[in-house]
Amino acid sequence: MMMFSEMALHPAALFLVAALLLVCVRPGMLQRVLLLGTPVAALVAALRLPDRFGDMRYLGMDMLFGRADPLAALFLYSFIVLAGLGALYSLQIRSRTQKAAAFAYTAGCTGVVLAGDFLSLFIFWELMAFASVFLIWGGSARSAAAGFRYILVHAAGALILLAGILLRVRLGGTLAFEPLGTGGLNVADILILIGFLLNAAVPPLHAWVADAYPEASPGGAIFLCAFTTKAAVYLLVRGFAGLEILAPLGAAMALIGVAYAVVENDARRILAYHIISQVGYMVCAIGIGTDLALNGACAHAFSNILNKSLLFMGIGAVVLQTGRGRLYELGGLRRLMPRTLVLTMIGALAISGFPLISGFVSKSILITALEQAHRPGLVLMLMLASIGTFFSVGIKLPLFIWFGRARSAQYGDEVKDPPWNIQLAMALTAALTLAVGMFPNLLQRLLPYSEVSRVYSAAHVSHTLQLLAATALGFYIMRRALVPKPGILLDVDWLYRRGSAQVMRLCAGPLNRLNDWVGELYQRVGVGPVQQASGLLTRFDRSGIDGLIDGLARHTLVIGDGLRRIQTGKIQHYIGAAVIFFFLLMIIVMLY
Amino acid sequence: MSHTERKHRWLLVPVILIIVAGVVVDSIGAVRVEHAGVFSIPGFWSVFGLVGCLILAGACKLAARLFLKRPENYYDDVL
Repeated sequence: MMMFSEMALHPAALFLVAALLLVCVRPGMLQRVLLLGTPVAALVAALRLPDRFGDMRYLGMDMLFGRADPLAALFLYSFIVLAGLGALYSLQIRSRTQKAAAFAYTAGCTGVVLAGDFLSLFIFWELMAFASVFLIWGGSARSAAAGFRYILVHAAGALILLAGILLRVRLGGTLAFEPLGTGGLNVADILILIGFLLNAAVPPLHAWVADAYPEASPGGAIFLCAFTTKAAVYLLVRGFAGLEILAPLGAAMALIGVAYAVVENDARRILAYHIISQVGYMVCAIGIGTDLALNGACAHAFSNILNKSLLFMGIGAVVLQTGRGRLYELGGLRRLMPRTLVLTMIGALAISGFPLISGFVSKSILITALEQAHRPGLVLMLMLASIGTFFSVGIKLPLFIWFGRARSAQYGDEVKDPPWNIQLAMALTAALTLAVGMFPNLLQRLLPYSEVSRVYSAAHVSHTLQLLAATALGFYIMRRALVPKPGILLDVDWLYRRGSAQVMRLCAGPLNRLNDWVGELYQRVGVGPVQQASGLLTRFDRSGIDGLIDGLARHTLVIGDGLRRIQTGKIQHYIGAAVIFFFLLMIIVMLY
Repeated sequence: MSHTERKHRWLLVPVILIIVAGVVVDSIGAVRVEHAGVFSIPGFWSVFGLVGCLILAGACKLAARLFLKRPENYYDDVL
C-alpha cells in the first residue's frame, strides 16, 4: 500500500489502455464498465498525483511527463470529469472506434496538461490531433472532407510547433516547458506561440473549429468542444502569460466569434463560433497577465468546459433525435423534447453569464481583472461579445429550435427526449454548472493563483442583468430580420477550400495562357533573332575569320615553298644573286 | 402584429422591469465600482446593451448579406 501511494499513475496511461481495450471489446457490460470506470479511476489517480513525477532521459534530453501543480491540476480535473460525462453521453453509440478515439484523445489531452517538457508535450499534442480526427469522421456525410481539412490544418500547426521546439534547442534553450519570451520573443518562441494559437483557434487561425466540429458525431463533439482549445488556453497561461498582444487579440476573437454566431444558421456551428468567442475572453485575460486575470482565464476555461459541453449535448440530442441541425429546418420541439430544452437552457444561460450559473462567476472574475488593470476598452469589447452571446445562444438558438412551429416537414413519432444516459449526462453537467454558479468558492478554491475577487457584487449582478435584459429588448426589436434562411457563411477556410481551387484555376487559366504567350514571345523576339544573328556570325566566322586565318596559312605555305625553291644550296647561285643585287643597287644610286 | 406575437408580448414586462430595477439600483448609489467611472453611470449598461445589440446584429446581418452569405451547396464541388 505504501508502495502504491508513492507511485504516480499517469491518467493518460489509464485512458490509453482503456482505448486499446475499447477497440476489442464488443458493446455490453464490459464496455460500459470501461467507459464509466476509466474516468473515475483516472480522477482518483489524478487526485493522488505528486507535484512532479515521470522524469526520464531520452537521447540525451530530459523529459518530464508529470507536473501536477495547481494550474495543471485544475485543467486535468475538468478534462477527466468531462471525459466521464462524455462517455456517459456516448454509452449507446455503437461505434467502437468512436469510443476508443474519445479516450485516446482524452489521454493526449491529459498528457499535454501534465507535460513538463516540450518533447512529451509534442508527443501528446500529436496524439490529440490524430485521435480527435476520428471523432469528426464518425459524424455527418460531410465529415470525411471536414476531418481531412482538420487534420491538414493541425498537421501544419504541429510542424510549426515542432520547428519552434527544435529551434529553441538550437538557440541554446532547454526542453523544459517554462514561461517563454520573458526577455522578449525570439523566432523559436514565436513559432511555438503560433502552434498554441492555432489550437486555441485565434483568428485568423480559427476557421477549423467552425468547419470541423459541427460535422463530428454528437458524442464526439462533446470531447472536441472541451479539449483542444482549452488545452491550448492552458498552454498559453503556462507559456505566454502577460504577453500584451494577446489582450487585444483575445477581445477581437471574442467579437469575431459572436459576430458569426449572430447570423449563422447551423445550430452546432453557432456553438462552434461560441467556442472561438469564449476562448477569446480567456486569451484576452492571459494577455493582461495579472494573477486575477489568469485566475479569470482558468475559471472561464473551467466554466466553459462545462457549459459548452452541456450545449453540445443538448443540440447533439436534437440532431440525434430529429436528424436536423439547421435552424430553418427546426422549431416547435418544446412539447416533444421538453427536458432537453430545460437542460440546454441552463447551458445557454450559463454561457451568457446569467447570475447563479457558472458563466457569471468566471466572467465576473475576468471582467474585474480587466477593470483593475484599467482596460475599459477591452471591458467594453468583451461586454459587447456578451451581448452577442446571449443574443445568439440565449435567445436565438432555443427560440428557433424549441418554439414556434417546425419550419420544414413535421417530425416523426420517434422524436422525443433522448435516452436516459444522454439525459443523465446533461443533468449531471447542468448540476455542476449550477453548483459552481451558486457556490463560487468551489471553483475559487481550485484556482491556481492567489488573487481572488468578490464574485457576487451588487454592481456585477445589476450590470449583467441590465445588459441581458437590454439584449432581449434589442432582439425583440430586430426579430423580423432574424428569421433563419438557408445559406452558409464564408470564413477563412475559404482560402484553402475555394481559394486553393481559385489558385489552381488561375494557374490553369490566365497564368498558363501568360506562360504560353511569354513562350511564343520568346520564340519570336528571343529565339528567332538570336538564331539569325548566330547564322550571320557563323557565316562571318567561316568566310571572314576562317578565310583570313586559312588564307594566311595558305599564302605562308606558298611563300615558304617559293623560298624553299630559291634556296638551292649551291654557292655559285648565291654569289650570282648577290652580284645582281649589287648592280641593281648601283644603278638605283647612280640614277638618283 | 400577428396573434402569436401579441400573445407573447407580456415577455417584455420582466425585461423592462429588470432594466428599471437596474437603473434604480445604480442610481441609489448601491453600486460602487472601482476604476470604472463611466461604467457606474446609472443605466449605462442598459443603454450599452440595447445600442450594442442593435449595432452588432445590424452590422452582422448587413455583412452577411453583402459579403459572407453563400448558397448551402457552395462548397459541394470542392474538398
